[in-house]
Amino acid sequence: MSTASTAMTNSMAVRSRVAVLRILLVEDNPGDVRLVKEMLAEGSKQLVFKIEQVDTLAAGIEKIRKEKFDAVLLDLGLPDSKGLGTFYSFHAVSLDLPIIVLTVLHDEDAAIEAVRGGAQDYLIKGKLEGELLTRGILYSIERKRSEGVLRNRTVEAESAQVRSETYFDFLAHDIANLLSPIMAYAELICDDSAAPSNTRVRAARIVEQARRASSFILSLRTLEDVEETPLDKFDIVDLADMFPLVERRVREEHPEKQISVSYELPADVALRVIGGVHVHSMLEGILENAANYADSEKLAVSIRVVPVEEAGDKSFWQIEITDDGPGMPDELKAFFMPSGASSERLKKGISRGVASSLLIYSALVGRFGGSGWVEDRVPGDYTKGVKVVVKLPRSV
Amino acid sequence: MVIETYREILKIYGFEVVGWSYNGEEAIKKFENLNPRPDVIIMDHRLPMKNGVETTEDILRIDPSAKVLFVSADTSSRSPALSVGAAGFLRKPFELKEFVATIRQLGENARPAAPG
Repeated sequence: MSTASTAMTNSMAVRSRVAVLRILLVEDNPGDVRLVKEMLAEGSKQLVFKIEQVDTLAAGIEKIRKEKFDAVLLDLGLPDSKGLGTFYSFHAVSLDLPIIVLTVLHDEDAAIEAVRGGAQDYLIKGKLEGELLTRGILYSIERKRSEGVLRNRTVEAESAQVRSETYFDFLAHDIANLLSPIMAYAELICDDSAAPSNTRVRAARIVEQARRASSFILSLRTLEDVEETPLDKFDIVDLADMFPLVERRVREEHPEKQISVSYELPADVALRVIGGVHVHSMLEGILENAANYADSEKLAVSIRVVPVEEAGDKSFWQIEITDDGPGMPDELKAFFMPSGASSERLKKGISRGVASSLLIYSALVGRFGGSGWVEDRVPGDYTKGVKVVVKLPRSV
Repeated sequence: MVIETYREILKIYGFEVVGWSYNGEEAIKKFENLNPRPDVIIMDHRLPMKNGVETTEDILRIDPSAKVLFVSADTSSRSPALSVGAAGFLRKPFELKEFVATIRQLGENARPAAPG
Protein backbone atom coordinates (compact mmCIF):
# COMPACT_ATOMS: atom_id res chain seq x y z
CA MET A 1 0.00 0.00 0.00
CA SER A 2 1.34 3.44 -0.81
CA THR A 3 2.27 6.03 1.76
CA ALA A 4 -0.65 8.21 0.81
CA SER A 5 -3.37 5.66 1.29
CA THR A 6 -1.82 4.36 4.51
CA ALA A 7 -1.72 7.85 5.93
CA MET A 8 -5.28 8.55 4.86
CA THR A 9 -6.63 5.28 6.20
CA ASN A 10 -4.87 5.62 9.54
CA SER A 11 -5.96 9.18 10.02
CA MET A 12 -9.52 8.35 9.13
CA ALA A 13 -9.55 5.62 11.72
CA VAL A 14 -8.42 7.86 14.59
CA ARG A 15 -10.09 11.09 13.64
CA SER A 16 -13.49 9.76 12.82
CA ARG A 17 -13.52 10.11 9.03
CA VAL A 18 -11.33 13.21 8.83
CA ALA A 19 -8.31 12.61 6.62
CA VAL A 20 -5.10 14.49 7.28
CA LEU A 21 -2.91 14.97 4.24
CA ARG A 22 0.69 16.00 4.74
CA ILE A 23 1.80 18.26 1.95
CA LEU A 24 5.32 19.45 1.29
CA LEU A 25 5.37 22.86 -0.35
CA VAL A 26 8.67 23.66 -2.07
CA GLU A 27 8.28 27.35 -2.84
CA ASP A 28 10.50 30.37 -2.16
CA ASN A 29 8.11 33.19 -2.99
CA PRO A 30 6.51 34.36 0.31
CA GLY A 31 3.41 35.60 -1.53
CA ASP A 32 2.76 32.26 -3.18
CA VAL A 33 3.48 30.40 0.06
CA ARG A 34 0.88 32.46 1.88
CA LEU A 35 -1.64 32.04 -0.91
CA VAL A 36 -1.31 28.25 -1.04
CA LYS A 37 -1.48 27.97 2.74
CA GLU A 38 -4.63 30.08 2.85
CA MET A 39 -6.32 28.09 0.13
CA LEU A 40 -5.54 24.78 1.75
CA ALA A 41 -6.39 25.98 5.22
CA GLU A 42 -10.02 26.07 4.19
CA GLY A 43 -9.94 22.31 3.67
CA SER A 44 -13.30 20.65 4.16
CA LYS A 45 -15.20 18.65 6.76
CA GLN A 46 -13.45 15.43 5.78
CA LEU A 47 -10.09 16.86 4.91
CA VAL A 48 -7.30 18.65 6.74
CA PHE A 49 -4.06 19.69 5.04
CA LYS A 50 -0.92 19.83 7.10
CA ILE A 51 1.64 21.87 5.22
CA GLU A 52 5.39 21.93 5.59
CA GLN A 53 7.19 24.52 3.54
CA VAL A 54 10.80 24.90 2.42
CA ASP A 55 12.53 27.46 0.16
CA THR A 56 14.97 25.40 -1.85
CA LEU A 57 15.25 22.16 -3.82
CA ALA A 58 18.01 20.95 -1.49
CA ALA A 59 15.86 21.58 1.59
CA GLY A 60 12.91 19.82 -0.09
CA ILE A 61 14.96 16.74 -0.88
CA GLU A 62 16.34 16.74 2.64
CA LYS A 63 12.80 16.94 4.01
CA ILE A 64 11.32 14.02 2.07
CA ARG A 65 14.24 11.86 3.07
CA LYS A 66 13.39 12.36 6.72
CA GLU A 67 9.61 12.67 6.78
CA LYS A 68 6.63 11.12 5.08
CA PHE A 69 4.34 13.20 2.87
CA ASP A 70 1.23 12.45 0.89
CA ALA A 71 2.01 14.89 -1.92
CA VAL A 72 4.46 17.58 -2.98
CA LEU A 73 3.72 20.99 -4.48
CA LEU A 74 6.89 21.85 -6.32
CA ASP A 75 7.72 25.27 -7.76
CA LEU A 76 10.04 24.92 -10.76
CA GLY A 77 11.83 28.23 -10.16
CA LEU A 78 13.79 27.98 -6.94
CA PRO A 79 16.94 29.77 -5.73
CA ASP A 80 19.08 26.66 -6.23
CA SER A 81 17.37 25.18 -9.31
CA LYS A 82 15.38 26.50 -12.27
CA GLY A 83 13.01 24.93 -14.77
CA LEU A 84 12.47 21.27 -15.67
CA GLY A 85 15.69 20.24 -13.92
CA THR A 86 14.03 21.06 -10.61
CA PHE A 87 11.36 18.48 -11.26
CA TYR A 88 13.73 15.75 -12.46
CA SER A 89 16.08 16.22 -9.52
CA PHE A 90 13.21 15.97 -7.08
CA HIS A 91 11.41 13.13 -8.85
CA ALA A 92 14.59 11.02 -8.98
CA VAL A 93 14.65 10.78 -5.19
CA SER A 94 10.90 10.47 -4.63
CA LEU A 95 9.56 8.11 -7.28
CA ASP A 96 6.60 7.00 -5.15
CA LEU A 97 5.47 10.48 -4.21
CA PRO A 98 2.79 12.37 -6.19
CA ILE A 99 4.24 15.66 -7.42
CA ILE A 100 2.20 18.65 -8.55
CA VAL A 101 4.32 21.16 -10.38
CA LEU A 102 3.72 24.86 -9.79
CA THR A 103 4.74 27.13 -12.60
CA VAL A 104 4.34 30.59 -13.99
CA LEU A 105 2.23 31.16 -17.08
CA HIS A 106 5.12 31.72 -19.50
CA ASP A 107 6.72 28.46 -18.49
CA GLU A 108 3.76 26.17 -19.01
CA ASP A 109 5.74 24.05 -21.54
CA ALA A 110 8.18 22.97 -18.85
CA ALA A 111 5.28 21.99 -16.62
CA ILE A 112 3.71 19.89 -19.37
CA GLU A 113 7.08 18.26 -19.96
CA ALA A 114 7.28 17.48 -16.23
CA VAL A 115 3.90 15.72 -16.41
CA ARG A 116 5.22 13.66 -19.32
CA GLY A 117 8.22 12.83 -17.18
CA GLY A 118 6.16 11.57 -14.25
CA ALA A 119 4.57 14.51 -12.42
CA GLN A 120 0.89 13.93 -11.59
CA ASP A 121 -0.34 17.39 -12.47
CA TYR A 122 0.65 21.02 -12.89
CA LEU A 123 -0.96 24.25 -11.73
CA ILE A 124 -0.25 27.76 -12.94
CA LYS A 125 0.53 30.30 -10.26
CA GLY A 126 -1.71 33.29 -10.61
CA LYS A 127 -4.55 31.06 -11.72
CA LEU A 128 -4.74 29.16 -8.48
CA GLU A 129 -7.91 28.83 -6.54
CA GLY A 130 -8.83 26.74 -3.53
CA GLU A 131 -11.05 24.09 -5.01
CA LEU A 132 -8.81 23.57 -8.03
CA LEU A 133 -5.79 23.13 -5.78
CA THR A 134 -7.54 20.73 -3.41
CA ARG A 135 -8.91 18.64 -6.25
CA GLY A 136 -5.52 18.64 -7.98
CA ILE A 137 -3.85 17.27 -4.87
CA LEU A 138 -6.50 14.58 -4.27
CA TYR A 139 -6.51 13.42 -7.88
CA SER A 140 -2.74 13.32 -7.93
CA ILE A 141 -2.63 11.11 -4.86
CA GLU A 142 -5.25 8.81 -6.35
CA ARG A 143 -3.52 8.63 -9.74
CA LYS A 144 -0.20 7.82 -8.14
CA ARG A 145 -1.87 5.10 -6.09
CA SER A 146 -3.47 3.43 -9.14
CA GLU A 147 -0.16 3.67 -10.97
CA GLY A 148 1.42 1.75 -8.12
CA VAL A 149 -1.32 -0.89 -8.13
CA LEU A 150 -0.90 -1.34 -11.88
CA ARG A 151 2.85 -1.59 -11.53
CA ASN A 152 2.51 -4.19 -8.77
CA ARG A 153 0.10 -6.19 -10.90
CA THR A 154 2.49 -6.16 -13.82
CA VAL A 155 5.34 -7.28 -11.60
CA GLU A 156 3.14 -10.01 -10.09
CA ALA A 157 2.02 -11.21 -13.54
CA GLU A 158 5.60 -11.30 -14.76
CA SER A 159 6.83 -13.21 -11.76
CA ALA A 160 3.90 -15.64 -12.00
CA GLN A 161 4.90 -16.32 -15.59
CA VAL A 162 8.51 -16.89 -14.68
CA ARG A 163 7.39 -19.20 -11.88
CA SER A 164 5.14 -21.24 -14.10
CA GLU A 165 7.83 -21.54 -16.78
CA THR A 166 10.33 -22.69 -14.16
CA TYR A 167 7.91 -25.24 -12.71
CA PHE A 168 7.05 -26.52 -16.16
CA ASP A 169 10.69 -26.89 -17.08
CA PHE A 170 11.44 -28.65 -13.81
CA LEU A 171 8.48 -30.98 -14.20
CA ALA A 172 9.16 -31.80 -17.85
CA HIS A 173 12.83 -32.43 -17.25
CA ASP A 174 12.45 -34.54 -14.15
CA ILE A 175 9.60 -36.68 -15.42
CA ALA A 176 11.55 -37.43 -18.58
CA ASN A 177 14.52 -38.26 -16.37
CA LEU A 178 12.45 -40.55 -14.15
CA LEU A 179 11.02 -42.32 -17.17
CA SER A 180 14.54 -43.27 -18.14
CA PRO A 181 15.07 -46.11 -15.61
CA ILE A 182 11.43 -47.23 -15.98
CA MET A 183 11.90 -47.65 -19.70
CA ALA A 184 15.33 -49.23 -19.35
CA TYR A 185 14.21 -51.88 -16.84
CA ALA A 186 11.09 -52.69 -18.82
CA GLU A 187 13.20 -53.06 -21.95
CA LEU A 188 15.56 -55.37 -20.08
CA ILE A 189 12.61 -57.60 -19.20
CA CYS A 190 11.41 -57.52 -22.83
CA ASP A 191 14.82 -58.69 -23.99
CA ASP A 192 15.20 -61.34 -21.32
CA SER A 193 14.60 -64.65 -23.07
CA ALA A 194 14.38 -66.39 -19.70
CA ALA A 195 11.34 -64.31 -18.68
CA PRO A 196 7.83 -65.79 -19.24
CA SER A 197 6.32 -64.56 -22.47
CA ASN A 198 3.32 -62.81 -20.87
CA THR A 199 5.70 -60.95 -18.54
CA ARG A 200 7.65 -59.80 -21.58
CA VAL A 201 4.45 -58.65 -23.29
CA ARG A 202 3.48 -56.64 -20.22
CA ALA A 203 6.93 -55.12 -20.01
CA ALA A 204 6.59 -54.11 -23.67
CA ARG A 205 3.42 -52.22 -22.71
CA ILE A 206 5.30 -50.38 -20.00
CA VAL A 207 7.91 -49.37 -22.57
CA GLU A 208 5.19 -48.22 -24.96
CA GLN A 209 3.44 -46.10 -22.32
CA ALA A 210 6.69 -44.59 -21.09
CA ARG A 211 7.55 -43.72 -24.68
CA ARG A 212 4.19 -42.02 -25.13
CA ALA A 213 4.60 -40.06 -21.92
CA SER A 214 8.01 -38.96 -23.09
CA SER A 215 6.80 -37.83 -26.51
CA PHE A 216 3.91 -35.98 -24.88
CA ILE A 217 6.34 -34.02 -22.70
CA LEU A 218 8.43 -33.30 -25.76
CA SER A 219 5.39 -31.95 -27.65
CA LEU A 220 4.46 -29.63 -24.80
CA ARG A 221 8.02 -28.35 -24.69
CA THR A 222 7.91 -27.83 -28.44
CA LEU A 223 4.70 -25.86 -28.12
CA GLU A 224 6.28 -23.65 -25.49
CA ASP A 225 9.39 -23.07 -27.63
CA VAL A 226 7.35 -22.30 -30.73
CA GLU A 227 5.23 -19.74 -28.91
CA GLU A 228 8.35 -17.90 -27.78
CA THR A 229 10.19 -17.94 -31.12
CA PRO A 230 9.68 -15.12 -33.65
CA LEU A 231 8.06 -16.32 -36.90
CA ASP A 232 10.97 -15.39 -39.15
CA LYS A 233 13.18 -17.86 -37.30
CA PHE A 234 11.29 -20.86 -38.72
CA ASP A 235 12.38 -22.60 -41.91
CA ILE A 236 10.24 -22.76 -45.00
CA VAL A 237 9.65 -26.34 -46.10
CA ASP A 238 8.08 -28.17 -49.03
CA LEU A 239 5.22 -30.45 -48.02
CA ALA A 240 5.88 -32.77 -50.97
CA ASP A 241 9.33 -33.59 -49.54
CA MET A 242 7.87 -34.46 -46.18
CA PHE A 243 5.04 -36.84 -46.99
CA PRO A 244 7.25 -39.82 -48.00
CA LEU A 245 9.39 -39.44 -44.85
CA VAL A 246 6.34 -39.20 -42.63
CA GLU A 247 4.73 -42.17 -44.32
CA ARG A 248 7.85 -44.30 -43.91
CA ARG A 249 8.20 -43.39 -40.26
CA VAL A 250 4.59 -44.33 -39.41
CA ARG A 251 4.94 -47.64 -41.27
CA GLU A 252 8.07 -48.40 -39.24
CA GLU A 253 6.28 -47.57 -36.02
CA HIS A 254 3.34 -49.83 -36.88
CA PRO A 255 4.74 -52.93 -38.55
CA GLU A 256 1.62 -54.82 -37.41
CA LYS A 257 -0.68 -52.69 -39.57
CA GLN A 258 -1.22 -52.62 -43.30
CA ILE A 259 -1.25 -48.94 -44.06
CA SER A 260 -2.02 -47.73 -47.57
CA VAL A 261 -1.50 -44.07 -48.41
CA SER A 262 -2.78 -42.35 -51.54
CA TYR A 263 -1.90 -38.82 -52.63
CA GLU A 264 -3.60 -36.04 -54.51
CA LEU A 265 -1.16 -33.15 -54.78
CA PRO A 266 -1.09 -30.12 -57.10
CA ALA A 267 1.42 -30.75 -59.87
CA ASP A 268 4.31 -28.50 -60.94
CA VAL A 269 4.21 -26.24 -57.91
CA ALA A 270 6.27 -26.19 -54.73
CA LEU A 271 4.08 -26.72 -51.65
CA ARG A 272 6.03 -24.32 -49.52
CA VAL A 273 4.91 -23.42 -45.98
CA ILE A 274 6.50 -21.89 -42.91
CA GLY A 275 7.17 -23.98 -39.80
CA GLY A 276 10.24 -26.12 -40.52
CA VAL A 277 10.61 -29.27 -38.52
CA HIS A 278 7.32 -28.59 -36.70
CA VAL A 279 5.32 -29.12 -39.86
CA HIS A 280 7.05 -32.46 -40.22
CA SER A 281 6.22 -33.45 -36.61
CA MET A 282 2.67 -32.26 -37.08
CA LEU A 283 2.10 -34.39 -40.18
CA GLU A 284 3.74 -37.30 -38.44
CA GLY A 285 1.53 -36.74 -35.40
CA ILE A 286 -1.65 -36.76 -37.48
CA LEU A 287 -0.70 -39.96 -39.28
CA GLU A 288 0.58 -41.54 -36.10
CA ASN A 289 -2.71 -40.73 -34.43
CA ALA A 290 -4.68 -42.36 -37.23
CA ALA A 291 -2.52 -45.49 -36.93
CA ASN A 292 -2.78 -45.57 -33.12
CA TYR A 293 -6.55 -45.37 -33.12
CA ALA A 294 -7.16 -47.69 -36.07
CA ASP A 295 -8.97 -50.70 -34.67
CA SER A 296 -8.42 -53.04 -37.59
CA GLU A 297 -5.23 -54.28 -39.22
CA LYS A 298 -5.85 -52.31 -42.36
CA LEU A 299 -5.82 -48.55 -42.53
CA ALA A 300 -6.37 -46.51 -45.67
CA VAL A 301 -5.15 -42.91 -45.58
CA SER A 302 -5.52 -40.35 -48.32
CA ILE A 303 -3.52 -37.14 -48.37
CA ARG A 304 -4.76 -34.26 -50.45
CA VAL A 305 -3.39 -30.73 -50.78
CA VAL A 306 -5.44 -27.92 -52.34
CA PRO A 307 -4.75 -24.21 -52.73
CA VAL A 308 -7.15 -21.88 -50.88
CA GLU A 309 -7.45 -18.15 -51.49
CA GLU A 310 -8.99 -15.86 -48.89
CA ALA A 311 -9.89 -12.19 -48.74
CA GLY A 312 -6.99 -9.80 -48.29
CA ASP A 313 -4.67 -11.63 -50.70
CA LYS A 314 -4.13 -14.49 -48.30
CA SER A 315 -3.27 -17.81 -49.86
CA PHE A 316 -2.96 -21.11 -48.09
CA TRP A 317 -2.18 -24.74 -48.71
CA GLN A 318 -4.97 -26.83 -47.27
CA ILE A 319 -3.78 -30.28 -46.27
CA GLU A 320 -6.49 -32.90 -45.82
CA ILE A 321 -5.51 -36.20 -44.23
CA THR A 322 -8.39 -38.66 -44.30
CA ASP A 323 -8.46 -42.10 -42.69
CA ASP A 324 -11.00 -44.90 -42.49
CA GLY A 325 -10.42 -45.54 -38.78
CA PRO A 326 -13.04 -45.48 -36.02
CA GLY A 327 -13.73 -41.73 -36.31
CA MET A 328 -14.23 -39.05 -33.71
CA PRO A 329 -17.48 -37.91 -32.03
CA ASP A 330 -18.56 -34.32 -32.71
CA GLU A 331 -17.99 -33.14 -29.15
CA LEU A 332 -14.34 -34.09 -29.44
CA LYS A 333 -14.01 -32.55 -32.88
CA ALA A 334 -15.10 -29.26 -31.37
CA PHE A 335 -11.79 -28.96 -29.58
CA PHE A 336 -9.96 -28.61 -32.87
CA MET A 337 -12.13 -25.80 -34.15
CA PRO A 338 -10.08 -22.74 -34.97
CA SER A 339 -11.67 -20.49 -32.35
CA GLY A 340 -10.61 -19.47 -28.87
CA ALA A 341 -7.22 -19.31 -27.22
CA SER A 342 -5.07 -22.37 -27.77
CA SER A 343 -4.28 -22.71 -24.06
CA GLU A 344 -8.00 -22.77 -23.23
CA ARG A 345 -8.68 -25.42 -25.84
CA LEU A 346 -5.74 -27.46 -24.63
CA LYS A 347 -6.97 -27.29 -21.07
CA LYS A 348 -10.51 -28.34 -21.95
CA GLY A 349 -9.38 -30.94 -24.45
CA ILE A 350 -6.85 -32.61 -22.21
CA SER A 351 -9.33 -32.89 -19.35
CA ARG A 352 -11.68 -34.68 -21.78
CA GLY A 353 -8.99 -37.04 -23.00
CA VAL A 354 -8.75 -35.69 -26.53
CA ALA A 355 -5.67 -36.97 -28.37
CA SER A 356 -3.12 -34.59 -26.92
CA SER A 357 -0.78 -34.73 -29.90
CA LEU A 358 -3.54 -33.47 -32.20
CA LEU A 359 -4.44 -30.69 -29.77
CA ILE A 360 -0.84 -29.57 -29.56
CA TYR A 361 -0.53 -29.52 -33.34
CA SER A 362 -3.69 -27.51 -33.72
CA ALA A 363 -2.13 -24.94 -31.35
CA LEU A 364 1.08 -24.97 -33.42
CA VAL A 365 -0.80 -24.35 -36.64
CA GLY A 366 -2.33 -21.22 -35.11
CA ARG A 367 1.15 -19.92 -34.30
CA PHE A 368 2.14 -20.20 -37.99
CA GLY A 369 -0.89 -18.20 -39.08
CA GLY A 370 -2.97 -21.16 -40.17
CA SER A 371 -5.82 -23.14 -38.73
CA GLY A 372 -6.86 -26.74 -38.33
CA TRP A 373 -10.00 -28.73 -37.71
CA VAL A 374 -11.46 -32.22 -37.88
CA GLU A 375 -14.35 -33.41 -40.09
CA ASP A 376 -16.07 -36.74 -40.70
CA ARG A 377 -14.72 -38.72 -43.63
CA VAL A 378 -18.34 -39.53 -44.47
CA PRO A 379 -20.31 -36.37 -43.61
CA GLY A 380 -22.89 -37.05 -40.93
CA ASP A 381 -21.46 -40.41 -39.87
CA TYR A 382 -18.63 -39.97 -37.44
CA THR A 383 -17.93 -43.70 -37.14
CA LYS A 384 -16.45 -43.99 -40.63
CA GLY A 385 -13.16 -42.20 -40.05
CA VAL A 386 -11.88 -38.65 -39.76
CA LYS A 387 -10.56 -36.00 -42.06
CA VAL A 388 -7.97 -33.79 -40.36
CA VAL A 389 -7.67 -30.48 -42.16
CA VAL A 390 -4.68 -28.16 -41.72
CA LYS A 391 -4.47 -24.86 -43.49
CA LEU A 392 -1.05 -23.22 -43.59
CA PRO A 393 -0.10 -19.93 -45.24
CA ARG A 394 1.70 -20.41 -48.55
CA SER A 395 5.29 -19.27 -48.59
CA VAL A 396 7.17 -18.14 -51.64
CA MET B 1 18.77 -44.02 -9.32
CA VAL B 2 19.74 -43.16 -12.88
CA ILE B 3 23.41 -43.89 -12.29
CA GLU B 4 22.59 -47.25 -10.67
CA THR B 5 20.38 -48.12 -13.63
CA TYR B 6 23.11 -47.27 -16.13
CA ARG B 7 25.72 -49.23 -14.21
CA GLU B 8 23.52 -52.29 -14.09
CA ILE B 9 22.55 -52.06 -17.75
CA LEU B 10 26.08 -51.40 -18.95
CA LYS B 11 27.31 -54.42 -17.01
CA ILE B 12 24.59 -56.64 -18.52
CA TYR B 13 25.61 -55.55 -21.99
CA GLY B 14 29.23 -56.36 -21.30
CA PHE B 15 30.72 -52.92 -20.61
CA GLU B 16 33.00 -52.19 -17.70
CA VAL B 17 32.09 -49.12 -15.68
CA VAL B 18 35.43 -47.74 -14.45
CA GLY B 19 34.09 -44.77 -12.53
CA TRP B 20 31.10 -42.58 -11.88
CA SER B 21 30.33 -39.28 -10.30
CA TYR B 22 27.29 -37.31 -9.20
CA ASN B 23 28.69 -33.88 -10.00
CA GLY B 24 30.74 -32.16 -12.68
CA GLU B 25 33.70 -31.05 -10.58
CA GLU B 26 34.26 -34.54 -9.23
CA ALA B 27 33.85 -36.08 -12.68
CA ILE B 28 36.72 -33.96 -14.03
CA LYS B 29 39.02 -34.96 -11.16
CA LYS B 30 38.15 -38.61 -11.57
CA PHE B 31 38.68 -38.47 -15.31
CA GLU B 32 42.08 -36.86 -14.86
CA ASN B 33 43.20 -39.62 -12.50
CA LEU B 34 41.90 -42.56 -14.49
CA ASN B 35 44.57 -44.64 -16.17
CA PRO B 36 43.83 -45.83 -18.72
CA ARG B 37 41.20 -43.27 -19.63
CA PRO B 38 37.68 -44.58 -20.31
CA ASP B 39 36.66 -45.27 -23.92
CA VAL B 40 33.35 -43.48 -23.48
CA ILE B 41 32.05 -40.97 -20.94
CA ILE B 42 28.30 -40.76 -20.39
CA MET B 43 27.37 -37.24 -19.36
CA ASP B 44 24.16 -35.76 -17.99
CA HIS B 45 23.55 -32.02 -18.27
CA ARG B 46 21.87 -30.83 -15.08
CA LEU B 47 24.54 -31.63 -12.55
CA PRO B 48 25.48 -29.95 -9.29
CA MET B 49 28.56 -27.69 -9.23
CA LYS B 50 29.23 -27.66 -12.96
CA ASN B 51 26.78 -28.54 -15.71
CA GLY B 52 27.36 -31.22 -18.33
CA VAL B 53 28.38 -28.81 -21.07
CA GLU B 54 31.03 -27.14 -18.88
CA THR B 55 32.22 -30.51 -17.62
CA THR B 56 32.50 -31.82 -21.19
CA GLU B 57 34.53 -28.76 -22.14
CA ASP B 58 36.96 -29.32 -19.27
CA ILE B 59 37.29 -33.02 -19.98
CA LEU B 60 38.05 -32.34 -23.64
CA ARG B 61 40.63 -29.77 -22.58
CA ILE B 62 42.37 -32.48 -20.57
CA ASP B 63 42.02 -35.03 -23.36
CA PRO B 64 40.77 -33.83 -26.74
CA SER B 65 40.27 -37.42 -27.91
CA ALA B 66 37.79 -38.25 -25.12
CA LYS B 67 34.41 -39.50 -26.39
CA VAL B 68 31.59 -37.89 -24.45
CA LEU B 69 28.08 -39.24 -24.98
CA PHE B 70 25.68 -36.62 -23.74
CA VAL B 71 22.40 -37.95 -22.31
CA SER B 72 19.87 -35.45 -21.05
CA ALA B 73 16.15 -34.88 -20.70
CA ASP B 74 16.90 -31.22 -21.37
CA THR B 75 16.64 -31.01 -25.16
CA SER B 76 17.95 -27.46 -25.16
CA SER B 77 21.34 -28.81 -24.06
CA ARG B 78 21.79 -30.74 -27.33
CA SER B 79 23.25 -27.99 -29.42
CA PRO B 80 25.63 -26.53 -26.78
CA ALA B 81 26.79 -30.06 -25.95
CA LEU B 82 27.60 -30.88 -29.56
CA SER B 83 29.19 -27.51 -30.15
CA VAL B 84 31.68 -27.96 -27.28
CA GLY B 85 32.65 -31.29 -28.77
CA ALA B 86 30.41 -34.04 -27.33
CA ALA B 87 30.60 -37.07 -29.62
CA GLY B 88 26.89 -37.84 -29.39
CA PHE B 89 23.58 -36.84 -27.82
CA LEU B 90 20.67 -38.96 -26.62
CA ARG B 91 17.48 -37.50 -25.25
CA LYS B 92 16.23 -39.13 -22.07
CA PRO B 93 14.32 -41.37 -21.85
CA PHE B 94 16.10 -43.25 -24.64
CA GLU B 95 15.69 -46.74 -25.96
CA LEU B 96 18.09 -49.21 -24.51
CA LYS B 97 19.09 -50.59 -27.91
CA GLU B 98 19.98 -47.14 -29.12
CA PHE B 99 21.93 -46.39 -25.95
CA VAL B 100 23.93 -49.59 -26.15
CA ALA B 101 24.53 -49.30 -29.89
CA THR B 102 25.74 -45.70 -29.53
CA ILE B 103 28.18 -46.56 -26.76
CA ARG B 104 29.46 -49.53 -28.73
CA GLN B 105 30.00 -47.39 -31.80
CA LEU B 106 31.78 -44.64 -29.86
CA GLY B 107 33.89 -47.24 -28.07
CA GLU B 108 34.99 -48.81 -31.34
CA ASN B 109 36.05 -45.44 -32.65
CA ALA B 110 37.94 -44.63 -29.46
CA ARG B 111 41.72 -44.46 -29.64
CA PRO B 112 43.73 -47.42 -28.34
CA ALA B 113 44.39 -47.19 -24.62
CA ALA B 114 47.50 -45.16 -23.84
CA PRO B 115 50.40 -47.30 -22.64
CA GLY B 116 50.21 -47.46 -18.84
